[in-house]
Amino acid sequence: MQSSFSYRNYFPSFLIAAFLSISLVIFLPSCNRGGQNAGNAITVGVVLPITGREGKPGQYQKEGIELAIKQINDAGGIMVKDKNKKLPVKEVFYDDGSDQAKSASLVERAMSSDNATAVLGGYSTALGEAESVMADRYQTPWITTGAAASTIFSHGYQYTFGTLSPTTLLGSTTADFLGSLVDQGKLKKGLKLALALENTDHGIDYGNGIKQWIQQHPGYFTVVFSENFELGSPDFSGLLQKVKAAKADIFLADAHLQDYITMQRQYLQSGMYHQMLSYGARGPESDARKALGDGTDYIFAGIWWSKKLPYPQVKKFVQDYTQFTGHDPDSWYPATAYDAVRALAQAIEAAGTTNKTAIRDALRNVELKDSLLPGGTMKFGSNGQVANAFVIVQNKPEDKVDIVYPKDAATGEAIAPTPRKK
Amino acid sequence: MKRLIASFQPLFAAGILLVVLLLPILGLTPNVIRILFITFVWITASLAWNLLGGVAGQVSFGFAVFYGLGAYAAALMINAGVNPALSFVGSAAVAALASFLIGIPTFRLRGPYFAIATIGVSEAVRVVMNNISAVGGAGGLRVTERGIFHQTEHYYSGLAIAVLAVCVSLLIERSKFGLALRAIRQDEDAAADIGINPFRCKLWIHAIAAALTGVAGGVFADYAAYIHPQGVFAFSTSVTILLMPVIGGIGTIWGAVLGAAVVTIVEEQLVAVFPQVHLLLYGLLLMLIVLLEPDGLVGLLRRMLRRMHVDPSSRGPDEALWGRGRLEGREL
Repeated sequence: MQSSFSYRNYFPSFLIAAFLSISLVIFLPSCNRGGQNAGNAITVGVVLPITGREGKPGQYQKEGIELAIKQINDAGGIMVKDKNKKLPVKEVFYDDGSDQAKSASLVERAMSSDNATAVLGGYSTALGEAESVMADRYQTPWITTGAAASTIFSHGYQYTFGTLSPTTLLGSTTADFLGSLVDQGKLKKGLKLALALENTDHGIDYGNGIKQWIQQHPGYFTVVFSENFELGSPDFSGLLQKVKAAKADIFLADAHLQDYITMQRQYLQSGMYHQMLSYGARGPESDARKALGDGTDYIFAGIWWSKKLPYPQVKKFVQDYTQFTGHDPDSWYPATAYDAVRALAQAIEAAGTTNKTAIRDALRNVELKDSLLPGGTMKFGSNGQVANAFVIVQNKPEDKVDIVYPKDAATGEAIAPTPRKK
Repeated sequence: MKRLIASFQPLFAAGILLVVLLLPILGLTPNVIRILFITFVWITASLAWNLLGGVAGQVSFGFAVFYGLGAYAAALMINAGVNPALSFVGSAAVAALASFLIGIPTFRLRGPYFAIATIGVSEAVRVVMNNISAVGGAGGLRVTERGIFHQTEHYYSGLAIAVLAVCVSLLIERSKFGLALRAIRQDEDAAADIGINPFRCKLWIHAIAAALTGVAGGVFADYAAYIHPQGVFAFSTSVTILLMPVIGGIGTIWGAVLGAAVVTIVEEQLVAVFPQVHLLLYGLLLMLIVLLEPDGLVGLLRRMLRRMHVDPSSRGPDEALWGRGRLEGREL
């Protein structure tokens, strides 16, 4: 029997017990972070990765959402007719850590426990796929701001919406752009393409978009190599060796930000050269340009939005965003998130109620006439996904980025073929 | 005191079971039901791992294989119109079959070599599943939902498999087979000398553990309605399954249960309350437990019982409740 009291014996147990007690004490109050404001605010759940491999884009999307919410609240909130007053928007944010199971679970939490009027999030495709299940289950509108794969919108879900145009359109726009360079005489007809696609629905859709365009436009290009790679792979040298062996003229990859940086670094180390080079929707990101310097020059990308778009609302957004976050918008990430909040606000106002089904119905008819996206108008299609055009941007020396396609939005000439390094 | 604890044991277990059975009727929020459902799934997987890693002393980093195969088997069967309950049996069968295929070569290895082999197998299966387009490939697999979603049905499915895992663990622990496994954990060669066939015993406990983990995966797939190789077959899934009994108290039934419950609830709450620093806090908690309380949370409770003058030296009812804990001098 031990009777003497020893701090040494008790201290570890005390620390652990204290930690667990604090966690459990917060268990009940934190189970519902939105419900206590029911009636006085519109709770919007936001589930995005701000840690893990998708942390950077997720953070940019979060900033876009928070800017829109701030602007709405600064203007007094959203007018809800059946309450006869303006209600502020209350954000309930969860970080899914780029983990698919966690992201679905957190969306469920926001929809069920926080009683969110709508949930925004779902960056990227893999996380969006998992989250999309919950919308119809809890009959709560869910707007993905960062998932574009067609599979998400092909299940007949009624509460699922997305502000990214389909990835197949990204593939066909990329091919269309290359075709226009052939028509201009900058590239020759019959060039050989090598495709490296991430092994996801996103990659499959991108490849399909390119292949469909080639089938519809015979003689322009032939695909001599097409292979998938694993998302988040630490090494692409084997794949790049195969690309080199294929002796293609143009190399098109579809990759996420981290994979783009890793692959391009290894591409440069291998000393390869292609007349045109693209990583799908990635290219102008400042992280990549900082990491690889002039190694990213002349890479082109098809993106959902560019800060160079010549619309007054885009100029204002860039100014507001920079003031709000202290940095420029990086690539397209914050814009689709910002517009998602504005579309939701418009739908709530049109519905005149916070009833989720009424908001869902209103979202189907929303037409955001001062949208930031290419075309300047945003409208959800019958499957819930928007179909705005893509813009093709090209990195230029000294950290410059120009819109090079379509012609009516271009801020600079496409440089093709890519100049060889001296 | 010892007798008092012994007499309260069945009552205590029955009380907990009654409470969890009645919880959904008491009007809990869907979020709490969801957290409890996930807890039950992890309790099942944690107890399964504990049978192999804790009781038999074979540390595997590859349980995501069984979890994932169980999830995919159930998903495919549900999509083919099979009743979900039957599909969970299918999950168990597929996972058990896989355990033999994996166990026959890997149980020829011992200690860290076995552990490394399980990591290799797990990663290989994940990559293969990523590339089988018939089951959705890297795009994942959606589980057809028939009719309206009833959360409480899933809750009771989760509870049923957790109870099943506890019963299986208790039966094994109190059987000759369990004694043989403990002998293998202590000294495999000595166990062989007294007539135990270590290879066969390890294969069977591996299959039982795999079957339970497969069922857990199947029940999860039915709830999630969408599974993905990078999720269910992820190395992090294997680590989570292993971590729960380690935190709760390796080699003990209630340690595995407590570990799963604490890990799930604490992680959920940290994500919700501290979204910016949840990983830091979670890591800190794990470090605290592993460094300061190597016998896990059950070790902590056992020390508290000691302070209450319960004699810990003899194997008695208190030990049956909390288990012996540490692997009796053998490092993992």
